[in-house]
Amino acid sequence: MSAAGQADRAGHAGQAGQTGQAGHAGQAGTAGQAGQTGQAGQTGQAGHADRAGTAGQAGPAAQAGHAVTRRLTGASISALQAALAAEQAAAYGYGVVGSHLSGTQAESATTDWVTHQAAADKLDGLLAAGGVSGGPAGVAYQLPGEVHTAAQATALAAALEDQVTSAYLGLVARGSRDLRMLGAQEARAAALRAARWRGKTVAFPGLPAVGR
Amino acid sequence: MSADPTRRVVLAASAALPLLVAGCRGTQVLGTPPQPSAAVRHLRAAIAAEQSMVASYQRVLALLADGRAAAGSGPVARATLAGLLAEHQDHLRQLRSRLIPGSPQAAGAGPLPSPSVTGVPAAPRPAISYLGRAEQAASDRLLSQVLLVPPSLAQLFASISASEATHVPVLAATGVTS
Repeated sequence: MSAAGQADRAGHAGQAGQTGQAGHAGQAGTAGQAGQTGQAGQTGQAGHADRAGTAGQAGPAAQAGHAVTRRLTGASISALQAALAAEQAAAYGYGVVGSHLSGTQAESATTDWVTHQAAADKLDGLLAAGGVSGGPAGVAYQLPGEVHTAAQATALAAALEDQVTSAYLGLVARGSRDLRMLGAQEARAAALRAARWRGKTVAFPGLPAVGR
Repeated sequence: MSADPTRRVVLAASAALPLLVAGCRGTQVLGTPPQPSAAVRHLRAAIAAEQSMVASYQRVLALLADGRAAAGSGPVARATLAGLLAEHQDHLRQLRSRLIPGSPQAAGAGPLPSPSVTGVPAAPRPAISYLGRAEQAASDRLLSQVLLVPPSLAQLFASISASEATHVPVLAATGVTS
């Protein structure tokens, strides 16, 4: 379990960096402040780096914001919104999951809950930077099954991660270049969490129809 | 600066070489099959990588089945590795199904190389660690190619990359208990 935890954390670390970068890049575009533009300059991705390169002054920084807006195609928007919905549902579901677990499992549920909230915020930010509303999170979500026991709770956590994995693979297929890479990284992280909760791996995470 | 003329000569010579070779071959050059597209090349590389992974698992499983070498590694480790191997065979089947053998692009690249399994350690625990490192490397490689292939193939690459990443902690746990 410790090894699984480490691998998972390593995955998160990579994403956390990108999460921050994407967010900062968007902020730099809309706010046009020197400090935030500098942060955008630290992005590792080519697309962002290009924008950061032209965002040295206030004027180009504003243009960079427009570039972000223009980059979101209809397919990217719908895939981002689907990923956001899956993240919001997961954040809600982990609240239920955690309430039925104790000890290290409860701690894991809390960690994953925070991860999904942060991911939902990031996706919301990406949509907002593109001039699109992500829509508010639902008050309550229909859960796939009844949850009364710890086993049902971990099964729910795995099912939530499956949905998140699938949603991010949608981003891989339909998103623009930078969103495709984000989707692939987030799908891998979600698959790692799903396998940890399930205690078992699958050949095609997020693609249940493949191989049948 | 004395290095510059030398480099220029080398560059010029290397630029002239293909022309000379082409001249010798005459019309045969025109019959050269088209280069496979980038997507086909990446798909073939992914197939080759999965073949290597399957061969590596088979090698380690054979090692664990050998009583003397596998002293102390239980049937649990073998069952775990067999399960992971089955997933790689699923990956391989699915990747192969995306490569249409009759297409000119696929045909232009010749037969796939046979899998190489050099470097698998002879002792069980190092061998299982080796598999873990190979899984992580394979997962990272597929992830890095997501932007280089068409969307539907990218989705499959991303899913297989995720599957391979999930094998790493399983192997780490198996290596400790084996």
